Amino acid sequence: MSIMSYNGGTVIAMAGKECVCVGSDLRIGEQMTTIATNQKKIYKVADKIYLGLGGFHSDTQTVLNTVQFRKSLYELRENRKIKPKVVATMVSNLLYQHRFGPYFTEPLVAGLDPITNEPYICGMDTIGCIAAPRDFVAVGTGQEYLLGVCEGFWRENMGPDELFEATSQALLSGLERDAASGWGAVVYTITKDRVNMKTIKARMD
Amino acid sequence: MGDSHYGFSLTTFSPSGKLMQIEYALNAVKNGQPSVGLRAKDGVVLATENKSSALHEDQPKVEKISKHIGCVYSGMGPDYRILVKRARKIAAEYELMYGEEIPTTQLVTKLAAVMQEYTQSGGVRPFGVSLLIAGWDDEPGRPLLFQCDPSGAYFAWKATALGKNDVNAKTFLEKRFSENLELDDGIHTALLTLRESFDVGMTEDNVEIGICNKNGFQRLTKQQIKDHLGAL
Amino acid sequence: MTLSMDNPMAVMNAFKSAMSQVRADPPWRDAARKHGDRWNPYSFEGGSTAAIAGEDFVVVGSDTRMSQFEVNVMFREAEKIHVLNDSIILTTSGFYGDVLQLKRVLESRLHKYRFDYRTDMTVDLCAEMLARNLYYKRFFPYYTGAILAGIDEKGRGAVFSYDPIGCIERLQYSASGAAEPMIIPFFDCQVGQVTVSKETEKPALTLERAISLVKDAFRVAAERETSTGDKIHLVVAAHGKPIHQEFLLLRED
Repeated sequence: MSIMSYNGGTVIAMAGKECVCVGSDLRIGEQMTTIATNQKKIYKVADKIYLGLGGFHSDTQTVLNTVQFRKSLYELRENRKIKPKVVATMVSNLLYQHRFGPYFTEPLVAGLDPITNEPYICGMDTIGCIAAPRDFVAVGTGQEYLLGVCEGFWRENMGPDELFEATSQALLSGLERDAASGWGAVVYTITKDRVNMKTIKARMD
Repeated sequence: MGDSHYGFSLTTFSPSGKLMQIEYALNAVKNGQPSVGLRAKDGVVLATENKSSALHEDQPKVEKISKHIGCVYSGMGPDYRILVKRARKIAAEYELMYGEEIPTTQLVTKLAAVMQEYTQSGGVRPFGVSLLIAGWDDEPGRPLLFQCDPSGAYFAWKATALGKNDVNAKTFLEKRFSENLELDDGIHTALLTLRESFDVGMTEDNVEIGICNKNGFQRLTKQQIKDHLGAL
Repeated sequence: MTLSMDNPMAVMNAFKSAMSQVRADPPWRDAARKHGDRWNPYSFEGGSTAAIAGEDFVVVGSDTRMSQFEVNVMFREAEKIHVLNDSIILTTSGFYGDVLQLKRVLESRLHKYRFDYRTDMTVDLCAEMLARNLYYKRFFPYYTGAILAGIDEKGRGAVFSYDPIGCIERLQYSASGAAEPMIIPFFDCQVGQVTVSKETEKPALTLERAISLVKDAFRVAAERETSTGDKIHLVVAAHGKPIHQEFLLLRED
């Protein structure tokens, strides 16, 4: 079994009009055993920037800590708010620095520009190759399951409510078929004024 | 030092609390060819004297560091080129790391740190140059002008001058500078200031100009300089 | 081995035989590598198929791309849906050689059935027969993901889904092939309505809706999955009506 599916878990991000949605499941396991059912895989990096981390959980935490440290240092040194694109480049660099002994995590950055509120989403592989599409990205064990539904649900210029609906539908449909993810989901809707967190119940198994 | 034959001289304090090496470095700057920097409303001008001769090829003094940053110096040419190389490296590394151009303040801070390091390390001497660094920061979208000294001290200016006759030039600038100059007027004022310390006539062959605005940093061509000189 | 330089010919011969031995069986090839390099009787030509059963109809779809190694398109009009008789439709993806062989086997069985009993086989019987045919080759399986669809004896739409060795399941909808992980959750959401709570009233599955869902599923798959593309082959069977077939173009890349 691949190390990338040792703990399980799925994260998804979708972009809309002046808003982005990012969601993850809540399960964490050790192969077939479920260890906890309240583990979000989305972490706040800045006010309107969230980092989703799929893959091997302990590497996930290491990457998260390093990124948070570097982000704090950046904001102190430059005395300004960090942009989502800069976070993405920073994470990408961190991962590529470990090109030949990688962190087993696939990160995803979603957020709004602190000044222009332009939405930004991107996903990357374990060695930091960024893919920044305009519609949606998914990482983790249920990636393939989610992409199909996303493709069907995504429309241009969705508002926050519509976007939340599309993200949750994709997430729930995907979790239905991915045994390594589940136990409900959490979805953050990031708009220019506020971030809204909703927990969704699904099949609890 | 022990028995060692080599002296790794450190820049050390004189009893009066000065670092003489830095004072000497500043003297090297004071004796250098004059340079002027001026911040207009929509851009920055750097202007300097660059004596040409029929015998040697032109060697530019105004250098581009990154898309929106450029610099010029007064003092020792060889030292300057080392700093330009470092500055470009700092800018490129930043861009690789964060995926966007280095903010001018960041470049100045980092370059000043390099210059400071040369005042506190063994076996080296301080740089014999002062730099004028012109930049444009995309957010909030404003022109910036900095001076960087051999000591590692740096200052933000609206307008300033380095090198020979800098005191006179600064007095001149104080009289001529205004907050709402356009870039073209800025070039005009900078050239007027530079003329104060010229003993020969200014031509496109002995003046160099660099400008920086939202479109980036660029060196003016001889033809452009000639046009500006004609308008003096 | 002790060889002295006194006899250079022996040294050269020993070197030659050592080289040929290494060439034949390199010591750095571990067991897993050796196993992987063995001749493989299977290949995989990509593509996806899907089917939805309704009250009195069934909609079957597949793409028509045949590719190898996920990049090399070999043929753009490969048919993966086979109409076996007026009420049975077989659709398979996987190893195309096995797909064709499986189709031939079923066709000959159906032919014999018609000869023996003077009537067409029903989809329920055919489904069971297919399961047995697949399991018959338990230890050298047909490398196919088969779906059998049709109208059953009671006039209802039927979809049977199989794994390569004949595990059978009757479902309302199914998908198989390269884009299966994308299509199945899409159907779960739209047909199975798994994301809607039990109390909510669910929209009825009409023939028109089923057809457009199958079309959507393949447009989704063609968007994201490289071995699925070129054309949608759509086959619709409804109770008391002849089987209808059509081809629709997918994005051209």
